[in-house]
Amino acid sequence: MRKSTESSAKLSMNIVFIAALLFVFVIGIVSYSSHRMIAMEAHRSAENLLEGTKATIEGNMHRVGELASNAAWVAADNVRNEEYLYHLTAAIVAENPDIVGSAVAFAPGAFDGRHFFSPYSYRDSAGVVHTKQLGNDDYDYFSMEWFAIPYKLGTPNWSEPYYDEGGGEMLMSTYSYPIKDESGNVFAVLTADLSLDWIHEEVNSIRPYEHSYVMVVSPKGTYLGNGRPECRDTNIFQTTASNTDRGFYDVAFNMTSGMKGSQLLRLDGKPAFAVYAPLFNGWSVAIISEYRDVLSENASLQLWLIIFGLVILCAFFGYMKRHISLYVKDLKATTASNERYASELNIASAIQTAMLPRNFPDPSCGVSLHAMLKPAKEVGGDMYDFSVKDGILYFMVGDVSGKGVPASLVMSITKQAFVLLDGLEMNAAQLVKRVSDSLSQNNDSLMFVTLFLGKLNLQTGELQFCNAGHNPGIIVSPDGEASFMKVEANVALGVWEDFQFKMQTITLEKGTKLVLYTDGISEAERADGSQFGEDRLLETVRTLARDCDTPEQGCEALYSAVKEFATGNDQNDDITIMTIKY
Amino acid sequence: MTLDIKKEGEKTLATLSGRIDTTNAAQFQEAIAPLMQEKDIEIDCSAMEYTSSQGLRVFLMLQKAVSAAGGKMVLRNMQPQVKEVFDITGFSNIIKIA
Repeated sequence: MRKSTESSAKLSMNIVFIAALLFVFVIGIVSYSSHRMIAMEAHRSAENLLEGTKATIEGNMHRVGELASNAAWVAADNVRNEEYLYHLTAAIVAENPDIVGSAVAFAPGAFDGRHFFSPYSYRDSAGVVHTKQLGNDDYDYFSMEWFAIPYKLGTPNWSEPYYDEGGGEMLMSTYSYPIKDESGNVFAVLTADLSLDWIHEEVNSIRPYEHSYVMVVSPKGTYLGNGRPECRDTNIFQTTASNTDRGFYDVAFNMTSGMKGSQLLRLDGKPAFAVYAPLFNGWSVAIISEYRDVLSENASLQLWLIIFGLVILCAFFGYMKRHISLYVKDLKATTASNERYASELNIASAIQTAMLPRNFPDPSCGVSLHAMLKPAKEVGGDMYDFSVKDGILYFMVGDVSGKGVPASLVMSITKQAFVLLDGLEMNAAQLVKRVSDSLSQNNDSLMFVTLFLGKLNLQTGELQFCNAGHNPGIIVSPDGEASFMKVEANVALGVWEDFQFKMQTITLEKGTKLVLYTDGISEAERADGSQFGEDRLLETVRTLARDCDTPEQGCEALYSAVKEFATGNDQNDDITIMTIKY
Repeated sequence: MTLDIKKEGEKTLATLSGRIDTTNAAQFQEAIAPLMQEKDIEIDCSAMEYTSSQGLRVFLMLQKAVSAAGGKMVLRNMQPQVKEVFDITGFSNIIKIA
């Protein structure tokens, strides 16, 4: 028992080991594919977030642009009204908290012949709006970007962000809108100085993961917003210089070139990815996320999976160990019982075989006889018997319905019943009747026996026989003519108490051969279900009777013929053959 | 092997078809169980192809049960090679075959 526990533990260890391998394999696949899916999903959501951020920033800037263009229309209608122009700039600043300054700057000589004319309003750090004329020899605005670009090109322009050092100490960008006369010539530029502090706020508010951040850069690389405070007053190329990662350099280059895309990079040495896209005015927004954040949920999922798996494996191991040990115990018991059964069957088989006479009569007594019995299983229900006494050959072939152990029991009883009658002066029919009557009593299972019993007078050749429901034997005359014996059917033994069995008598010529058999011969089946059959049997016996010298040869040859016919198919019934040569 | 049973008034009509051999004799024995109670049984054997001695035994059981209950049973339309088995074993003497 101790040993079987050990072996079952070993067996379950092996099974659990294989299960563990499978588990690791599955975890690997699950983790790899979920990794990929999550990364793809993170890219997609970063891109969506990027679009949203872009739309927010652009929306704000478009609002300023629209405001400026409307104001430009108003200014164009009042180009002669100096007071109104001052009022206009003051109103733009006063009514738009994020606009810290506004000017209507005229081209040289365009207003009343003056070289410089530029009404300008701005909000100071205390929030008070001041208005003044901006241009003078010290502030020659004609060459400045905010004036020169829209003036020369006739298109609106957002200036490169700059620090307003004199005023609010804040990052700003100036939107300049050209004011044109009826023939389309630019004669003045309306500006709105937009504080970019809100971009910082916007950028800081977007943080999809713990370590991710958003940055907005100008075409020259200036940070208009950066979620990392330490980068705030620098530009992207300074960050690039302090970052040895090639990926970040590509991001910087592509963003300042106005390209859209995504990029793998290292952030403080950790794997990350950036998605970026340009704004309408050439600025660019990027969102950078670290993979460890993105995958942290996946990692915890994996951890839970592994813990869960280990618990299951342990439980499985315990279960297996117990059940395999029970199973092994069971198997041992079953095997032992099977072995015992098999050995008992072997003994039974030997006993049954021993019941059959083996010493065939010496041909010098006037007859030669041979018989063989091949049960389909270890034991069977076929039987034969013979003896020579006082010049009489007594012989018998019988078949109990069914096969196996039940049939073998009935066979033993039947065979023994005839033995007990040995010595009593009875003819063939009387013998059969006596045995049948005794079998019929208490035959609850209704097993029956078909049987051919004969008594051959070796002197006279007179054969008296009784056929009890058995297959008719074959008689081969000395000239080789084979035919089935004409038999009274009577009835099988054991089914009809007090049945009057009829006896028949014929006389055999010297040289006559008899073949008796059980239905294991005539009903031997091929795989296709066809049977050996009586016609084939008769034909085979005719041939063999001619070709074989002794009953023994005939017996073996007939058995071989049947075996050959049923090649490949299991023997489905007991087979008995008895051959007699008078 | 299949056995279909139907009642027609007092008569019980059964139709037996296929082969009865070692593999399905037990099944045949179960199949005829409902007939054991009947008094007037007619079994159509036209589609019955073969019976082994185990099959004969089941017929015998049925016949004994029916006789004991005072009933009658007849097997009809039996194919010649099957009839021969009944004849050889003498079962035609015990079981009515028409």
